[in-house]
Amino acid sequence: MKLTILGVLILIFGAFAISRAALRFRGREISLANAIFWITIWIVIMIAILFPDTTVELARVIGIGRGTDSAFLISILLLFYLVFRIYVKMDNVDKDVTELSKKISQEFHMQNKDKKP
Amino acid sequence: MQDKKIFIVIPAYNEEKKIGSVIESLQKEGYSDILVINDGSTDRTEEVARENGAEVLNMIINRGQGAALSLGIDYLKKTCNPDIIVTFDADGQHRPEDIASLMAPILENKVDIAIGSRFLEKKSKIPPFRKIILKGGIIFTRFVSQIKISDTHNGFRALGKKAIDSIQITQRGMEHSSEIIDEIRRKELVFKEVPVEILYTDYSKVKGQKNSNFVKIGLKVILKKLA
Repeated sequence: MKLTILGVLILIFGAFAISRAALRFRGREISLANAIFWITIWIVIMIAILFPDTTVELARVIGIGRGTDSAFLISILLLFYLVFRIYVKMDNVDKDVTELSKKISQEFHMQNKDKKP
Repeated sequence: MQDKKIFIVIPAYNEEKKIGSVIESLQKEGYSDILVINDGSTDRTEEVARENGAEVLNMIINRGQGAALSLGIDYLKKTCNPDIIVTFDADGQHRPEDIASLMAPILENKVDIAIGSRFLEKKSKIPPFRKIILKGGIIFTRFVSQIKISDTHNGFRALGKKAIDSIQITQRGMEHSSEIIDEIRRKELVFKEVPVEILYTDYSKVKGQKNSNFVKIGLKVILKKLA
């Protein structure tokens, strides 16, 4: 078994992601189903890194012939990750706008209510 | 019941045609503390609600039903110290007659929150396709929130003091319904489903949630879990 630098980095990140999912579950931030989902995903990825033959076998079963196609796969995963990050940022901005609207609406209402005879 | 402070919160967006009769029907049932959250309507919702005797809190821009509800609950919490808050739809889908049975388990101190369910008794004439979508939503919620509930997306609820103080609504759109179920689990609130009748009229079918919206809601719930 020969590990590349990328493989080692993914393994480290995978271990970190699994511990994070477990901690978030323990802190009741995510449900059991979510924790199992993420931990399974990362275990599968780590198995693929540690035992590359399993992916070759999988590629053969699915019908992807060449290993170089992995470059495309990584690109797609990277894009997916970037889109997800943009979604999270956009969602945060959206939440801020909602909080501001609520705060302004409430203050405005209370001021006007006080003014009424 | 008389000594309890009961408030009805109605989120409303462009409901000038229905809001007046909805307020009137609530008043006829004896509910006078009605707060309409006018969610950035561009029609006469505000004027009609005021003319009919409701307090109107204007959201400065349209932010969705979840945001409107959370604003209403926050405002009442700060200013009125409510014992029970009932959330009620503005399009005439809910029956004021059902409020008493919805509040009963809270008044008896048996539960923290009561949720209306159109599936416990088969009174509501639910359009077939809507029924399939709603059932899908229920299975989805059962998986995601791990709570067994017969009607996830019912906006007819009664919140007791503990629920008012602890439930945090952060989802501004219709996905707040799933969030409330999540909050019940997370805050370990005691809940009960109470049978209610949902009146499907041509108006409410046009004004209410579109069936295609449920896909969007599901995606938002998943993305929120991942984020």
